[in-house]
This record gives sequence, C-alpha cells and structure tokens, in this order.
Amino acid sequence: MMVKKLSVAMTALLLCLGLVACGGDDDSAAGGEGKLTFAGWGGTTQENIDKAWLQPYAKESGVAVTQDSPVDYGKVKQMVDAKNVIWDVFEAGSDFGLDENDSLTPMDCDIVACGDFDGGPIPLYKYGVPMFTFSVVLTYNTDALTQAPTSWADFFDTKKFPGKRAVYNGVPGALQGLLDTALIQDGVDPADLYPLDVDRALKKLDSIKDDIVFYSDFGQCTQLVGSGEAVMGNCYQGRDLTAMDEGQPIDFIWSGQVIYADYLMVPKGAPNQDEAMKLIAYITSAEHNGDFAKLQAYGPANPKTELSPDLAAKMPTSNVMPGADAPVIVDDKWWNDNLESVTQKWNAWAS
Amino acid sequence: MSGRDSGVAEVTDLAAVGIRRAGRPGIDFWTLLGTPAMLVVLVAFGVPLFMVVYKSATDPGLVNYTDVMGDPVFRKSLFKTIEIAVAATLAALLLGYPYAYVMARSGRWMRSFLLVALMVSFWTSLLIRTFAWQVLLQNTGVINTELKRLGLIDTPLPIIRNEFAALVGMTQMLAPFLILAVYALIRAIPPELEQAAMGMGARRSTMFRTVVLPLSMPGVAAGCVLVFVLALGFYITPQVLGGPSERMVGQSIAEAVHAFVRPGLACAMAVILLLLVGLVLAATARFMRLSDILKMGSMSE
Repeated sequence: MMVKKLSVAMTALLLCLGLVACGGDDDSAAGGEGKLTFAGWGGTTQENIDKAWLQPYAKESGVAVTQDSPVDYGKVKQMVDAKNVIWDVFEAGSDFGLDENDSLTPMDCDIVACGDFDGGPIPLYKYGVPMFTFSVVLTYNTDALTQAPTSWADFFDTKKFPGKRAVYNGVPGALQGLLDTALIQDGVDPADLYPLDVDRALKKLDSIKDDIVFYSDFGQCTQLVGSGEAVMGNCYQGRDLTAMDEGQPIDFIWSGQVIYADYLMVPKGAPNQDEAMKLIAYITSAEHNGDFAKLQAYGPANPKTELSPDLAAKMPTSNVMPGADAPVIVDDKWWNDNLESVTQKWNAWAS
Repeated sequence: MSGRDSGVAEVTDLAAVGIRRAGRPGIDFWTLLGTPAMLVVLVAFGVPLFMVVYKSATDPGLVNYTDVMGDPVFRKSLFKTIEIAVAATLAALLLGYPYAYVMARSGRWMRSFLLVALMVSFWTSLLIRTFAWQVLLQNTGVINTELKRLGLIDTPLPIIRNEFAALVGMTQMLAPFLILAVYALIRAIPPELEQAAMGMGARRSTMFRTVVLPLSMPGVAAGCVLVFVLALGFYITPQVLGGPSERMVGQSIAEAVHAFVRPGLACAMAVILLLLVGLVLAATARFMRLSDILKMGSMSE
C-alpha cells in the first residue's frame, strides 16, 4: 500500500516537473527542431543583428533564437565556472582572448567556413569568427576647424589645429589603437609596432595632454566633437555616419583608421553547441555576412562577401588607404597578454 | 551619567526585554513579521557578502590583496575616493541642514514646496541628472555660453572634468538623503522647546546651539554616515563629470570585472572598501551611539 502511494506521489511529482519544464519551453520554442540563445551588446546594433541575421536564420532553419544582452566578459566566466551556461552564441570583441581561453569552445571548422578568412584583413581565431568590422577614425568638427585635418599628424599638431581632442579612457580594451597611432606619429615603422613601447607612446601623448578631453563611453566621442566641446576625437565611423546623417557638423578621415572586428564565440558548456556553430556559419558565410551592412555601417568580415558600391563607400574594409595612411590593426594577442600592465601604466598616466 | 554609560544601560535593558520575550510561549508577532525580511537580508545580502570575501582570498588567492595594494593607481583612487566622499558629505551637510530646518519649521505651503522640490529631484534618474549637469557645466554648456555671451568671461570657466564638477553632481545626488534624515529629527523636536528657550531670554543663535543642534545631532550623524557610505560607492557621476584624476574605487572594481576578468581582484577591492566603511562606522560610534543613529527612524514617528 505504502509503495503504491509513494509511486503515485512520485508520478505526480514527475508530472509537475514535466509541466514546469514544458511551461518553460513554451516561451522560446516556436515549434521548430532546435533552439539557441544569442547574446549581444544590446541597443540598435543588436536590433539590426536580429533583423539582418537572427530572424532570417530562424525562418530558414526553424530554430528558435532567444536573445539576451548585454554581453559581459565577467558574466561569461562566471557562467562557465558555475557550469550554468545560458548563452550559446555571444558577440564580443577580440579582447576577450581568442587564442587561449578556458571559458570558450573552439570553432568547428567542419561547420563554419574557416577557409574564407585566410589572407583577409581580419583574422579568424581558434575561439572566434569575426562577424563584422568597424573602425576608429579621426573625427573632427567642421565648424570649429577652418581647414580639414588629413592625417593623425594633425591630431598631434595643436599649433596648426588648436582645440581639445576627445580621447577614450574607459574600460581599456586596446585603447582604440591610440598608443599604436601615437607611436606611428613618433616615427615607428608600422611593421615594428609590437611589442608596443608604451612609455614612448605616452611620452608622445604628453605633447597634447593639456588639450585632451577624456571620454569613457563611445557615444560621448561623437557628442563631444559634434557639440564643439572638442575639435577632434578618435570616434567610431559608424556613429559618425549616424551623426552626419542627423546633420551634425562632423566629418572624418579614413587615413590611419584603426580597424576592429566583433567576433562570435561559444561559451564552454553551451547547451546547444551544434546549433550555435550552425548560426555562426550562417552569419559569417560569404552569402549572408554582408546583410548587416545594409542596416548599419559595419562592414562584412568575410573577404569573399561582395557589397554594392554605395554601401562599400561607408565600410572600413572598402576604404583601405596605402602607405602612411594605411589602416592600423591592433595585435589582440599582445593586448590580451599585457592588458593589466598597460592599463596600469595608462591609468597612472591619465590620472 | 555620561552618554556611553546610558548606552550600556540601554543595551542591558534591551537584552532583558529580549530574554523576557523569549520566555514567552509561542512566537512573538513582531518576530514573525520580521522573519521574511531577515531571511531576505540573509540570502540576498549575507550570502553574497560571504562569497565576495571568500572569492577575494581564494580566486586565485591572497595575491589579490598584494596586487591591489601594490597598485599605485588603486591606492591613489582609494585616497581620492575618501577625499571626495568627505567633501561631498560636508557639502551635503552645509546645504542640507538649513534646508531641512527651514522645511521642518516653515508653514504648510512652504514646506510642501520644499518637499516637492526635493522629491522631484530625488526621483529623477541619477543618469539623467548627471548628464543634465554635464549640459550645464561643460565648456560649450549653458553656464559658460551665457557668461561668454554677456561678455563676463573670454575663456570658459574650469567647471567640468575636474573635482569641482564631480562634487557638484554628487552633492546634488546625495543631499536629499541627509535632508530627509535631519528633517525627520527636527520635526520630532517640539517647537515649544525653542519657544521656551527664547522666552527665557536666549538669543536665537544660543537657542539653536544649545537646543536644536544637540537634539538634531542623531539625524546629522545618520545623514552624514549615509551620505558618506553612498558616496564611497559612486561611480558614474564622477566618471562623467570629473576628470581622469577623480578616479573612484568603483571604477577600478568595474575595470577588474569587465576588462581584466579577475573577479577575485574586484572582490578584494570591494572588501577593502567595505573595511573602510566599517572603520567609519566604528569612528562614528566613538562620538555617537550607533543605536541613536539606528533609532532615528523610530524617533521621527
């Protein structure tokens, strides 16, 4: 008798659990075969990622894609350490450490077209595939300056171009390539930049320190230059283009642009790893990688992707200048290895 | 009987009450009512706090503390944090006390006006207020543009991206806490006491010094401690309004979490900040019985 009662109770309990589990599923699964969770930085960029890639992919594959934001490197590490991973794919900068990283799953090159990236401007790493490119460009206020700057040399020339310079001073990353740029302007051959001579770069920056306005959020850069609070700044080209469309007195130059890419990664222990690789393969394929550029001025990272000429005019990778004006690409591996020591030096200098 | 003695006596009284209550059969109504809150505090605050302390010493080890204290930028930011928190507390006190006094002793309309003005600012998002200050203070902002237009200045006043701007912003965010704490205390002082003092020939200043000020001290202490502790953790406002020299511990903690992905290091910084808060409370307790500060809420009823 007792045993029977117990088994009834157990069945009831299991039923309840089953119902709870199904209840949980109902929110995300749209009746397709698979499901996965994508995490981005949020904001309009993620809305456009959704429109350009996630929705079409979900429609095509029948996989239900749930979204989360914002990405936080600390959170990824905590999830993996706690073995409670809720993200399958997330978007992040290469500064998270893509050569070696205990928190990530290696890319599956049987599913992702890794070969497409050979010889391209943006490298593919063991733990990440580049999804789009954007760049940091010398941005200036067209009202405040009587003549337009033509290279980063003008950024360091406060006599010819008097006024404040907006410079990034938030959570470090590679400091928007400013140290690289300072060294190039100090006469270092771009091929010999790494390992970075941080002290020499800071000494070069000393020459304009009194004219620097620090900003800590990328949106502030365009705002500072647009309002005339600063006459120049190292801002993102995508945000500049938006501000220019809004009619703000802003322009920028492609000379010495610092090209960055955002990468797609898979946390270690992600619940739907195969689905994650398939989504990454879709987004980074030559066929679909350019879809995002139609919505926002972030260019495709896959060199085999082709864009229409008017779109290409706004994209970093279509505006590569030769010689002294060539783009700067920071060495992510070096930055990952030296992030703390460089940040300490930078903070000591900046404060 | 000195203040400290009475404190001891009071603690003994409370203990006696506690024992008496514990002796009563069944569960006390107030204990029952307070239990969920105590559980929430334990689970939502006690456990994470323990984890922070534990992580600071084990992830990867005590090296977190030597790393933190060996970093000159962190040491500088720690002193700067204390300096700014003290300055913000003093500024909030100087501006807030008179405001609270006027609010407590003025007529109904004036009081309503002051209260509404306080609350509207209090309830506006901290971010919005921070960016509003930026719009006012920056070189191309309202103040500098107007002064320039009037011909009073040639170059913009240095009122943005420095300690002054950080303090202006933080004082505005924090003063309401102090005002409300002091206001509650002053409201609890019977106006008859002031009238009696005046009636017996005391000048206004003497009356204020000997009657109002001592009686409102618990509110002042509570408000100051509250403002100081909150100021220690400020992060966004000094970052937006201050310059790179106004670097607070909060920024270092954020950097350790987001950029270095070293939660242990961030925990060590948080523990050091917490110890600092403990020191402040201990120091306050030397001048002021903590029970008075904590009791403030009940006195205001």
